[in-house]
Formats: sequence, structure tokens, C-alpha cells
Amino acid sequence: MLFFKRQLPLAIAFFFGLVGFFAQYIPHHSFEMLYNELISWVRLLYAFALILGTYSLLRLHSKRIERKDAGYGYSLVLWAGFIVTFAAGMYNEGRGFLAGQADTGMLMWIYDYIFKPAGATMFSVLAFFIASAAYRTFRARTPAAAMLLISAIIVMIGRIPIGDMISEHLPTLASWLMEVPNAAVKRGIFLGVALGVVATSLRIIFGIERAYLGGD
Amino acid sequence: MSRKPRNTLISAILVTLLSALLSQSAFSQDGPLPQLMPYPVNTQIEVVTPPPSPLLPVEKLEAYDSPDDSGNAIILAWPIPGDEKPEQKYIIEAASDQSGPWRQVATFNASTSFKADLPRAFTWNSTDLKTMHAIEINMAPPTKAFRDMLDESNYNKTLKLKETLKQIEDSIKDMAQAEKDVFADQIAELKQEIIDLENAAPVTVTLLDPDHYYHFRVIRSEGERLSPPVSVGVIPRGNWFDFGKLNNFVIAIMLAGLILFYVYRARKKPENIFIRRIPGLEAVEDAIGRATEMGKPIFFVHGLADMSSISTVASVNILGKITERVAEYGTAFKVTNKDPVVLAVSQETVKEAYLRMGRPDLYRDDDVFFVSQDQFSYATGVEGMILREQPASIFYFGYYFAEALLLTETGAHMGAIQIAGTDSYTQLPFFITTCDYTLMGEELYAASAYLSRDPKLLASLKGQDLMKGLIIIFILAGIILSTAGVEWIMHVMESF
Amino acid sequence: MQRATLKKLLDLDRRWIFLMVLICAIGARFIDFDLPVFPKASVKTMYDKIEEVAAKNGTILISMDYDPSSKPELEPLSRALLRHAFSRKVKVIAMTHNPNGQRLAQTVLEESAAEFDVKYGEDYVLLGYKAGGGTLVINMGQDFRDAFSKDYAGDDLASFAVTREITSISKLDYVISVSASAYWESWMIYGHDRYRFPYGVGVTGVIAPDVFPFLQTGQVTGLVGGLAGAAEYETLIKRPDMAVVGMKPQSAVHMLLVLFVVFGNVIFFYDLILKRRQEKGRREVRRP
Repeated sequence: MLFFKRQLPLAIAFFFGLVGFFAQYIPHHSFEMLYNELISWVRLLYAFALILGTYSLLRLHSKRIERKDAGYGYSLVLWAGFIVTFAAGMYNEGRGFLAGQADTGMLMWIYDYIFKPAGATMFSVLAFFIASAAYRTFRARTPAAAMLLISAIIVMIGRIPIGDMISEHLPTLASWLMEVPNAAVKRGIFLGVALGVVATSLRIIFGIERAYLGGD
Repeated sequence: MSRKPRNTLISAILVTLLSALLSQSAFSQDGPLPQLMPYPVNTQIEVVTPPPSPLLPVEKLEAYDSPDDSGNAIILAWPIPGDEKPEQKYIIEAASDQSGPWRQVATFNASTSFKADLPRAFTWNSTDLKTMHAIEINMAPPTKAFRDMLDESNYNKTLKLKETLKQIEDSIKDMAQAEKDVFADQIAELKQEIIDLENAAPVTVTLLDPDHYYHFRVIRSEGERLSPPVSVGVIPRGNWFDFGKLNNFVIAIMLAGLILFYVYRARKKPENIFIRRIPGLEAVEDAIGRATEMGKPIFFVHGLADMSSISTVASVNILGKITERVAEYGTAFKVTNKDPVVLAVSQETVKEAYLRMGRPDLYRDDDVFFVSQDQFSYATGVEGMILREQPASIFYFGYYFAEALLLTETGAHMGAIQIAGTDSYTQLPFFITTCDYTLMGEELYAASAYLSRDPKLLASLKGQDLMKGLIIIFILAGIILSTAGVEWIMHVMESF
Repeated sequence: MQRATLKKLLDLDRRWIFLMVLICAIGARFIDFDLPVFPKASVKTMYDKIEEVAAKNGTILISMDYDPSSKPELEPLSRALLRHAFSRKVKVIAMTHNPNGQRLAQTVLEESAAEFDVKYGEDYVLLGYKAGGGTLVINMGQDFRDAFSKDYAGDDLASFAVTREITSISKLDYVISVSASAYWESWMIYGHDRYRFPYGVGVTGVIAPDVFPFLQTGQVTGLVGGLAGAAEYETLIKRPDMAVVGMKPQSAVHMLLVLFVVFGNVIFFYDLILKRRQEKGRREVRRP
């Protein structure tokens, strides 16, 4: 059993890690065909992840309903929403789920009048939270924090049309902040992150890092 | 009278008489002088326009296999002709056989496509970069899409028809004329179909299989004027190594070599490798202790990336180490997940960590749960839990997007101690302003080595840092040398 | 001002802050004032690139990788790009990496196409959604028809003039990712760096700083950031629409945020000064 939980995953990680690494440097068509095949198979995993997520979510909420935990009514709503949406998708306006998606019908109605407005509303909440954070937590406690806030103010005003109206130099200054200090810092962090990514990947390929298997 | 004056007189008389005669005939009629050569009326004149003089053909046409490719490209190059004008064009045609059929595969204006435009094939210090035309003919790889297209194309249909025609002609060549006449209509029909297909718009893309010999020809054109074609043959071949990425490969091998060297040394001789203090990770113990004292739960909030992201791998590492600490205190511990695969890995990690610490009883499936795959549904779900359960400590590790501030602002509002670690550059300012400690970028990746103090992991960090030092030195050297005008340094790190 | 009052101000219930933001955002829609929009260089680059593609009757691919949550910020850009492309007879292939984005892509495509004399299949095609992210991009580069053999409605791509001869994304004249998350990175790492097609990016305002280094190195040709960027693009194509309209509330809320930051810090430092004065006073009293 340990073989399937340890040795086999390590061997798979090693083999496919090396294939992925060398695929960047070997352009020969025979290697390319192998790589293409692997890519197609990896894409299947994404589809399976969707099934796994759905199962996990439904199982969690069905347990809450079973135990009548606090707020289990919301779990009932989730189940009802899932069943209705799933049924509408499968029915597909009488065309069945194998045909191309219908442009009208129950599924599209749910998407257009429930999902879309709810999604847009969720993102809009961010504006209010930013305002709350701006007032309550953005404090110039240190010189570095003060510099951060001053830059933030310049960029916030410089990137909108009002900046042009206040002063023609504000947009220029905002652009300079974005293109020079921001890009420089981004590159520095990116370089470090890139090295970290390569090093962690190598550790995973060579089996030095094993936490992704669920522990040592 | 002497002889000379007498001859002169006679000549003069003769000239006068002749002139009179001529003038008499000239003025014998009224009106303008008659035309000496009568011109017929109402006759069509055929204006013969001389054919346009052909352009001179290209000279010294060369063909190469394109370097560092899968074997579907070749390069043609030739010196710029002396009489080239910007309005001229070049037409490139390809064929499997010298006798054709020739298919047009490319065309370009005379003011474009030089060797300088193909830095992968011709080095930056070549002297003829701007004095020679060069074009890479990159054919579609033998993909399903292309083969479908080729099957439907006129080119393939023409080939099939020609083959059929040849078979019929071969089969009837020894027959009597009367028997041959039976097939005459069929043959004529086939020939007409071939002509029609060849006259139809050609498919401009042609399959170029590796390791097969192909012929290419270049024709110059200027309006109606064309040059004679000049042809050359070449075999495209697949390459086993992309030398355009050699610099990248060398750096990757150096980094891998350094890491493996130090890990090997650490296994042979574990030593106390110094690692600088990371305040955020030092505070983990305090955060767990605080939650235990207050009797409130601890939350671990995963980021939005899936298991293929290194930041998620790093966060899972940290989760394992934090779980071990939590197991010592027996504090309530909840882990939220946005991705189902990450959920599976997290459940396994937490279970194993509790098992290692001898507290398997602490593990509950409901404590490591999936919230939602949607970004803001996940954020609001976690926010709601923070508001209801009021955790004393919250850990945020992974890759975050816009929802980061939603989460951390809520946690700050509830008074929780918050420790974050992310390589998401755009969210760092929000974490820094709202969290007590923030691990930035690669500090997140170093966390597993830091918390475990495993010599192998620390040794790999050492290799990584050494590589970073080398890159910094190289960048500084590059800045100085390129400022001083040393050109080659700028091309060493060129990426193709 | 008493410290108690300052403390009340510092710990102001955030619902008052939310209310102020709401009033500001809604109020700005009703107050009539002009806000001239000046396009930035990075936005102009994207515009010029599409003009360049139009000059050679080329084909572009727009990957609309956003979902309903970022639709208000990114759809104006998608619409402006489509209007520009259709008005210049540029062929468009649309797709999405986001499972919730197909319907959005379809809607904006149909609505934009209805304004011009363009036909589905001849001038534009919607490929729809496919899972895979970076691996999908690699697949599209290796074999376009293997990655997408049919469009969103299930019809063969070989039957459409737009996609009939596209065998790889390397053959495209311009690829634009309109993205709310990391999809633009996938396009760059797995797409542009491998297949070298011209690549432009349209992202939300918060992601735009991430893209600047790539703009400077030439890996990205054209960057449109957030609703402000979309407003600039609408100005360039001379069709001011939702993005330009959105500039008023956005500008108003930005100014409010600046006010909050400044006011919050003023209150904080004033409180700090008062606190130090009080402590100094106490120390002086304690001294005999």
C-alpha cells in the first residue's frame, strides 16, 4: 500500500517532471508528439477536478442537513439550487446534454438573472471594503508606510481622468511610478519567485519535497 | 570660251531645266502637296507592344534547414539584387518534385525580410544581415487540422486525378485505336477537371515533412514583369536540442546542480545551515498559543490557485507544520479550500500531521472542507465563517486575487492575529496593511525549510540563494559592460 | 478635539464608510460634469496593432477570460475591441478559459456583431470554453483543431471561413487576453513565449501593475488596465460607452478614498500627539 502512496507518486513526479523540463529544450517532432499527448491527458484532470469539487461540496452540505447544524437551511438552498440548475443543464431545452448548449431556456435564465447579477454584486463589495480599509487600516506608521500611501494617492488620482484636470503632471508621475519603481520591484520579486519556483519544482521532481503527498 | 566655263554653263542650264521640271510637276495642281506615299483609309493598325523585359533572376540562392525546430521549417537566403526597387515583390514556391506542381508558399515585399529579421538563424555579428534577404518557410506541422485541410484542397484532388488519368492512359496504351476512343471522353473530362482545379485559388500552405527532400524557387515580380525562377533543394530536419535556449538551459542546470550538490552534502554531513529570521514564521507559535488561551479556533485559508501552483505546494507544506504545532495544544483548527484537489491533499496532510503527533482523534473531515470554486463565493463564505466563529488566529498562505482584502479586512475587524504569505505581487500591499505579519514572495517557499529545519531543505535554499547571487553579479556586470559599449553581453542572455 | 471624540472617529463603524461610498458612486452618476479621457501610450499600442492587422485583412483572437464578477470592469473593453475589429473588417476568433465566461462572451459578441455588417463564420467565430488553462494554450499552438474541433454550438471549425486555415495560434496576427485573474499569464508563458505571436493584455486595474515589466520588454504589445483603460480605448475608437460613463463614479470614489486615507491619518497622528502630550503631562505631575 505504501508503494501506491509513496514510491509510485514519486516515480510519476520524477518521470513526468523530467519530460516537462526537457520538452522546453527538445524541439524534435517525435518528442513533441509525446508532449502533445501528455498535455491532452493533463487537460482531462481539470475536468475530473470539477466532479471531485461538486461531490465534496454536496457531501459537506448533506451532512449539515443530516445533523441539522446551525444554518442548515442554507445547505438546503444550495441543494435545491444545484438540482434545479443541473436538471436545466441536462435537459438543455429538449436537446439533451450531448448537444451544443442552447441559447435560451431555464439554464440561461438562471445564468442571466441570478448568477450574473450575484457575481457582479460580490465583486462590487470589494469597493466598500477597500474604502473601509483605506480609512481604518492604511496608516503611515513608518516612513515606508508613508511612502506607500503617498504613492498610492498619486497613482489613484493620476490614473483617472480627474488627474488630468487637476494637473497635467499627475498622470505623468503616476505613469512613472508604475513604469519605473513598480516595474523594478516587480522584477526583483519575480526573479526571486522564479528561482523559488524552479528550486521547489526541482525538489518535487527529485523527491526531496514530499509534503504534497500528505506528509513525509 | 575655255572648256571649264563652258562645262559650268551646261551644268547650270541642266540644273535650271530640272528644277523647272520638278517645280512644274509640284505646282501642276491646286492645293497642298500630294503625299509621296499614298496611305490607305480605314485600315486597322495593329500596335504590337513589345513584351515587358523580364527582371533579372536572384543569384546565389541558398537554402538551409531552419535551426532549433521540429523539422517543419527551412530558410532561403539570397543577396539583394542590384536592380531591386521597393515596389518589387518576391514569390516563393515549393514542390516535392523538380518538375512540379509548384505551390506558392510565401510572398513578401522587397523592402522586408532580411537576415536581420531571423536572429535565431543568423548571429547578430554577421556582416550581411541587411544586405541579404532571408525568409523562413515554416510549414504547418503534420496536425490533424492540416491534414484535413490538405485532403479537401485542390492540390490533393489534382494529384489524385492525375494518378487516375495516368492509370487509364497506361492501361489503354497497347490497345487498338477503336478501343482507345471509348475512353477518349473520360480522358478529356479528367484533363479538363485537372485544368480547372489548377486554375482555382491555390492552397497557400503546404505540408513540409521532416527528412524529405523539397524544392523551392524564388521569383521576382514587379507588376507584370517576372524574373525567371531560380530553384534550390533542401531537407528540413528536426533538431534534438534548441540552441536558442542554451543560456536558459545552462542556468537551469547550474541551479539544479547547486541544489543537488548542497542537498547531497547535507545528507552526508548534516550541518547547521544559517537561515535568517522570518518574523512571520516565528510568530506562528505565538498565534497558536493565543488562540488556545482565548479558547477560539484557528483558521487556515488556502489561496485560489490549484495544486499545480508552487505557492499552493508551499502552503500545503506550511499547513503540515502548523497542524503539528496545533496538535500539541489541541486547539480547534479549520482549513478552508477553494480547489477540490487541494482539498484532498490538505485532508491527507492534516490527517498525517495529527497522526505523527499521536493525536489522530483530533482530525475531523468537516474541519478541512471545500467552500466554493468561485472566487467571491469562496471569499464571502470564509468571511461569514470568520464573523460567526471569530477565530483568534488566521493564516493566509497561497496565491490570492482581489478577494484578499475582503478576507483580511474582516479578520482585522474581528481583532484576529493574521499571518499571511503570498507570491501574489498585486495583493502584497493589502496583506501588509491589514495583517500582522506578511511573508513575501520566496519567503513563502522557504517556509517549509524554515519550519522543519530539515537539513536537505535548508541546503536547497542555500543553493538557490547562491544562484541568485550569481545572477545579481551577472546583471551588474551586464549593466556595466553594455553601458561601456560591449555589445556581445547583450546577446548572451537573448531569448528566442 | 477630545481624545474620546478622536477615538470614536478612528473606530468609526464601517457601515458609515459604506454609506458614504454608496452616496458618492450613485451621486456622481446624476451630477453633470465633463471628464475628458486621454488615452495612454499602452492603450494606443493595442489600438495601433489592430489597425495594423486590419491593413492586412488579418485575424485576431480575443480570449474573454472573465466571469460575471469582473464583467462590469472588463466587458466594456471586450465590446470596444469587437467594435473596432468589426468596423475595420478584422476577423475575430473568440474563446474563454473561464467556465462561467462563455455566455458573457457570446452575448457581447452577438450584440457587437449586430451593429455591423458581419456574419458568423465568415467574420467571427466563438470557440467557447475548454478546460486546461496553460495546457490548452500549448495544445492550441501544436494543433489548433485538436484543441478546438468545433465551435460553442457544436459546428465543425472546418466549415467556417475564419477558422478553416488556422492550424496553430502561431498563425494568428494578434492575440488579446481580457482577463480578471492569472489567465493572461498562461497565455504569455505557454503561448507567446513558445509561439511568438503578437500578444496584448486587457486586465482589471488591480492586475495591471503586474503586466508593466512585460510591456517594457516587448513581450506584451498593448496593455489596457481596468475601466479607465477601457474608457481610453472607447475614446480612441470614438464610441464612448459604459466605460466612459463609468469614469464619473470611479473618479468620485477614488477621490473619496484619497480623502479617507488623508483624514484617517490626520486623525491618527492628531490622536498620537494628544496621547503624547497627556503622557508628558502625567509624568510631570508625578515628579515631586
